Parts: sequence; C-alpha cells; structure tokens
Amino acid sequence: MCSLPERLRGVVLALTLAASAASQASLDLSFDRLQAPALTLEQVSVSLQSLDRGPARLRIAQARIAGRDLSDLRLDCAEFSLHPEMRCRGGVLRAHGHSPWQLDFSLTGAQRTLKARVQPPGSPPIDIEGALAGAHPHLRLNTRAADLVRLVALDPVLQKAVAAYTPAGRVDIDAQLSDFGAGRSMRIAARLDLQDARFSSADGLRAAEGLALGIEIRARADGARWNGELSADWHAGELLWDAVYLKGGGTALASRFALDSGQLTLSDGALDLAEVGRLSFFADWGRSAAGAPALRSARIDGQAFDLEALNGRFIAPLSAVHGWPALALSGRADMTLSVDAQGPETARLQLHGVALADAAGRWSLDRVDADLPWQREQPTAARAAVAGAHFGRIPLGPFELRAVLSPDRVSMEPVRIPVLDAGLRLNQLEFVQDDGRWRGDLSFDLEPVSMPALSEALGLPRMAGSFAASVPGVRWRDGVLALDGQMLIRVFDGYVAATGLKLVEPFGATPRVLADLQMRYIDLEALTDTVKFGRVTGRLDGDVTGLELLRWRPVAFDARIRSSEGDYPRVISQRAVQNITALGGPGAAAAIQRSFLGFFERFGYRRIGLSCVLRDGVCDMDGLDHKGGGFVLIEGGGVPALSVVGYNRRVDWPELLDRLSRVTGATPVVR
Amino acid sequence: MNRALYALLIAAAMLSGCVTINIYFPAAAAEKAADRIIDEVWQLKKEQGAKPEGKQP
Amino acid sequence: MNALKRIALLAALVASAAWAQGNLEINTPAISQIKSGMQARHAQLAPHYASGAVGLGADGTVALRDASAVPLAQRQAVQGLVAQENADRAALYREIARANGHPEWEADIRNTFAQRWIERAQPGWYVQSGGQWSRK
Repeated sequence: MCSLPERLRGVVLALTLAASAASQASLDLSFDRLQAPALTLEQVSVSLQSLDRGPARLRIAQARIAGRDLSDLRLDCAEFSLHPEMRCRGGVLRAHGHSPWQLDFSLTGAQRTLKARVQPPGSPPIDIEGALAGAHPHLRLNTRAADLVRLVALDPVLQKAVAAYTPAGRVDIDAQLSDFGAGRSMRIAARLDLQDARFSSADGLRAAEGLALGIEIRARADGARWNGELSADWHAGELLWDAVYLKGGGTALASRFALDSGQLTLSDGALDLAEVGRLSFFADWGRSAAGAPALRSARIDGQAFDLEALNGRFIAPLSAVHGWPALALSGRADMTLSVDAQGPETARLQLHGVALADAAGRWSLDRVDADLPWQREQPTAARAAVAGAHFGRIPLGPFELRAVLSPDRVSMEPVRIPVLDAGLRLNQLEFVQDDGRWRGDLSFDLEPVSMPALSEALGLPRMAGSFAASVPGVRWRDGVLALDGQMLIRVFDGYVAATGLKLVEPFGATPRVLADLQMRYIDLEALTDTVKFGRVTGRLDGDVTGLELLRWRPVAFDARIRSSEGDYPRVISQRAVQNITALGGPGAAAAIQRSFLGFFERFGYRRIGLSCVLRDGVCDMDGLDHKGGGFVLIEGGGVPALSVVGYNRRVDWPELLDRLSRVTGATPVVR
Repeated sequence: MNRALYALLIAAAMLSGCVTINIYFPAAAAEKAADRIIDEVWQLKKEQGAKPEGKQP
Repeated sequence: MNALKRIALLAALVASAAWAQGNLEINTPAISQIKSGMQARHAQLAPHYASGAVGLGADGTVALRDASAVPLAQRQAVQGLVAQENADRAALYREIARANGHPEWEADIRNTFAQRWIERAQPGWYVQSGGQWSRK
C-alpha cells in the first residue's frame, strides 16, 4: 500500500501529457498488468471521452488489493477533467459482488495532493486527504459513525473470527498514514471511537451492551519492525465474559508495543481498574517450534489494590456464579506474578491491614498483614500476622503464621493461637500434592479453656469448669476430613471422646459428619446448671454410636446415657423431674404438680438411663427397665424417692428438639 | 429331559439377566415420590399433579 | 434341580420387587431441607423458565440455555441460581437414594426425576430431549 502512489505516478503523468497535447480528443489506454507491493491490477483499461469535464471509465478485470481479490472493478466518472487538476465528480465505483460506492476525488500539483470522498452504500462518507508525493507523503482517513458490521466485513479473516459474537455499533475513525514510500519509515496514527457497541455469543454468556470505547494507536515502522503505543479507554457500557461482569467507566489500558515478524512485546503496560487500582505489565510473545504464538515471558505488578472494590467487582460475582460462600473483604494488597515459557515462575502477594470475613458472619480475620511469596523452583517462607479473629462467637487473639511454600507442599510451623484465656496449639498443618491431588494432615491441642469465659463468649449461661481437646491427627483426602484415632474433649469434669470422626465434603452442598462418641463421668450438676434444665446432682456416662449429621443436623444415631458407676450424691430437683416429664408431652408435668410430690423440692434417685435410636426423623426411646407398658427413665431411691416412667416410645425428633428448647428456654446446640 | 432343563436354565438366566435391575428399582414408586416433591417445590396443586401419574412412559 | 433353584431365585427377586413397589421414603430431615431450599429458589427461577432463559435438562438438572433473555447485569445472578439449583438437585437425588438404603439408585432416581420435571413443566417452558431444546 505504501508504494502504490509511486508506481501509479507514471501512469498519471502520461495521462497529463496526453491531455495537454489534444484537449478535445478521446483517449483509450490499456495495461496488461500493473503491480505494486500489496497491489496487483490485471487488464486495466482507461477510456476518456474528453479530457475536459467529460465522462470517463476505468476498468480492471482482476485486482488484488491488500490480499483481497476483486473482479470486474469499474470506475465511472460523470465528469472527469485533467486540468488544472485531475478530478472525478459523480464517480461510481463497482466491483463484482459488491454494491456500488460513490466516489469523488481530485489530485493536484507536484505533491499529488489528494482529496477524496468515498461513500459506501448506506454508510456515512469517508474523507481521504493527503499528499501522495513530496518529502512527507501522507494520507488521512476520516469517517464518523461508520457501521461496525460493514467495517468488520472489509476483512474476511476478522469477520470470520468475530462472526459468532454478532458485533454491532458505530465507530468514528481518524487515521493518518505518513512517510510511506521507499526509504522512509512509515508512521501510523489512528484514533477509533466506538459508540453503543455491542456483541453477544449465541448463549448470551459472552456479551456487551452500550460499549463506549476510545482506542488510540501510534506506530512507526523500523524496517520490518513496528514500534508504537496503544491505549484504550473504556468510558461506558457493560460487559459479561462467562462469570465476569464488568461495568465500564474508569477502565483504561495503555502499553508500548513492538511487533517484529511474529514476535510481539508489550512494555510499560498499565491497566487502570476504576477504584481498584493499577496493574502494570510486560509481556513478550514469540513463536513456538510449531509456529503458533507462544508467551515467552510476562510480568504483572499491582500496587495497593483496594480489596473491597476488587471483591465487589470481581471476586464476589465470581463466587456467586459458582455457588461459593460470599466473603467480605477490605484492605490493600500488592501482587506480583512473573511467567516464563513453562508457566508461572514466581508470585508474591502482600496484604496490608486486610479484613477478611465470611459474609454470613461465621468467621472473620480482623487485621491481616501478610507476605506470601512463591517460587516454582525453590521453597519460600511465607508469614501472616493476624491481629485478631473470631470463629463463631469465639474471639481469637493475635497470632502469626509462618509457613514454607513450594509448588507441591505447604507446611506450617507450629503455632499457638490464643483462644480466650487459653490457646489452640497447631502442632502440624501440612498440605502435600500427590498425583495432582492435595492431601492435608493436621494435629492440634486445645489448652484448657475456662468454661465461664467460654460460656460467656458463646452467650450461654455461665458454666463452671474447663474445656480442653486433643486431636492427634486429622487427614484430608479427596474431600473427606477424617480423624485418626481419638479426639478427647474435657468438659463438665468428665470427658467426651470421639472416634471414627469423618467430615465428608464439609464445604459442599451436603456436608456429612460421621462419628462415635463416648461420654464418661459427666458432672450433671455442672451440665444442668448450664442449660437451665433444673438441677440434677450425679454423674453420667453415655455412648452415641453411628452418629450421622447431614448439613450439620443429626439424621441418625444410637444414643444411650446412664448414671456412671461409683459412689456420689444422686439428687434430682422437682423442676428437673417436671422438665423430663414435659419432654414426654404436656399432660404429665401438670399431673406431678397437682400430686403430693409437688411439696418436695428434691428427690433421691438410684439410676438414670435413657436411650434414643434416631432413624428417619423418629427417636425410638427406651429406659433402664420396663415397667407396666412403659420404660423407666429414673429409678427412685432414698427418701423421698421418685421414679419417672415414660410411655411414649416413638417421639418425633423435631418435636423432641422443640420441647427441649421450650424446657431449657434456649435453642439446643444440635440445631 | 436335558433339553427341557437347558431351556429352563436359559430362560431363567435371560430373565434375570435382562430385568433384574428394572425389577429391583421401584420405578413407579420413584415417579410417585418425584411427583410429590415436584408438587412441593413448584407449589403445584394436587389436582394438577394427579393426572399425569396415570401415564406410564 | 439347578433350574428349580434359579426359578426360586427369580421368584424371590420378583417378590422383593413387588415389596419395593410401595412408597419411597422422602420425608427425611435432609430431603426436607433440600426441598425447602429449592422451593424458596423456585420463585426466583420461575420467571426464567417462562422467558426461556433457563430450561429443564434431560439429565434432571436445569440449564442456562439462553442468557440473552435476561438483562446483562442479571445474567451472573441467574448463573448462580442455576448452579445452586443443580447442587441441590444432585443432593436431592443422592439423599433419596440414600434414605431408601440404596445409594446405587441415584442414577435411576435422577432419570425418573428428569422425566417428571419435564412432564410436569408448564406450557411455554423449555425442555431438553436428545440434546435438543423444545418449547412445551
């Protein structure tokens, strides 16, 4: 294209000479082949009826212009003159398979000053001005509100590439080509303004509407190499790309580029994301052995990113699409990523004063300062200082995590996390990648936490004693969190031991928990004081086998509780008796109150025993012994003695929970 | 005698081989259960739900 | 003798099948929970079934078949609804199979549901069969 005017000059010159010789004569010229870089014309014929304001006709049988083939190309000028300038008025340009384009042009002087106006059918006119010869040849193309669809149709390759996205919109173009021709370095400067542009894939998941986008390109040829700058400013509109939805305004991209025979380098790149921050980037593409474009190296840096805005615009919408839990996020982050031909090489994430919380309020990390470097070739040391946190209602004190990161292993140094007046000791936390799957191992101990502090934090009535747990080994394999051996929880002066504990897909749609529990020597006084059940003095053992929680609610278990062996005071208050009877239904409790037993505050007992087999939402109850048609829950002893006998064996589990919560005036933890 | 025995064997094998799974899965009961759940999830009235149940696919 | 055994076995199979044709257990707490979640979501999904944005798949799931029926800004939310609904549906089929003591029935239950969802779909909703979408 750059040398087109040079080659044509000879022809034009010849025409001019002919005209001066015989201004009234008609003229016919024909060429078999005219050739210039990016231009081949075959069987060209020119016929002029007059050299001064007469009609003229140009025919080209075959043309190949910038890789595009046109046949039967005709230009008819209603009024053509050669003096004082070459001018075509009322021209119509036709080509086989194309609608006619209107064309007016004039070419004047030694510098071949060109002024042309082309109007494709149904489109606004395109103005072309410039000087084709002289020291600084240049051409400027200007059009306003051009139809994007017609523009794309000019390039069959581009048209094919974007056909599935049905683009539409209007575009203003102001492009200038200068210093073309042999021995010069061609320059291009172009500005494109897209208005009301839109596109959509067939399924509507990749789409944009109302796009307003300004693109500016400046480039200079240096031999076969092009150097330049590119910038794009997205003013308005909305864009959906699979799960990512973006609204325009304040999003801008700028970069230098260098293009050299299949090698593209972007440098000094900057992507400004409104309110979020700026990403600087560098990228270098070459050709792979197979000749396909391949990324050779890249680097992306982001400084002081606003995580709240990043979360609102990118992270939260993405999690919603995947059904992941929403997070609340604020604070700043610096990030760096470098990539080479083999993939990510190094990465680093630094967090400054970051607050991270589950949007539902289940947990939070209140102020996190962290430095998390990562390298492909060697392990790195990461640290995260957390100023405070909470898990449920339990506040955690400040702690600092240190870990060694490598591509297939993350292992944390032992750490103590303050929990109320005690500490959670993470002895081991390690994730290892094996055959593309991550597995984890964890062991921790919870130092004895004072129950008064814990119960206060949980918003429960004040409890006495302490709570401690020891978990020697937990394994994470394929979505299942499984306990090795036994977890021991010290509570109410006794203990609860869990064995066979398994959490299946704890973060999935239907988390399941499987466990067997043994409770031994639980101090009933501490327990009943706590849950406002009415005081019972004594000790309790219990076994829960086959416990299964689905979505954190019990669906099956086989539970059995009974008085512990041994010698200890066994007293039950009238209120507790009433509450136990109330669990059997409303009638029984009233009966006790009316009887003479209502005079006594406390009763002695010999044994307490209760079993419940939960299946299909029904608790099948039993007691210590059978008596009459019922089962003995409390066997009396001492003076005054009182036995409680249950008759209702099958109790609806939700109903039982409901009664329990009414009796204790609090929602039981099992809900 | 032998032939009759073989025929029986083959018949039995074919029958059990072909239909075991179908027999075992309670298709009609599953349809009923599905319809009950669909009624609830889509909050459809009983009358609407009752009609298509008679049809066997 | 062998044939007799086979026949007895067959009879037993038929008998057990007859027994199994009663009712399926669908009243467990897990199933109720999943069901009520789906019921709440239905109010949000129903307009999208009606507009054709979301259709009933042949495999017992729902699918975003034509997002262009939804304003651009809401398409992500609909994607989220579809993802959640499908997670619940998968859980529902699994839980029904499990509640009846036959986890291996999951695929059969899914197929039964797929047919019933489509059969019960309201006129105007899109349903899938053999990979093709059609309007009821």
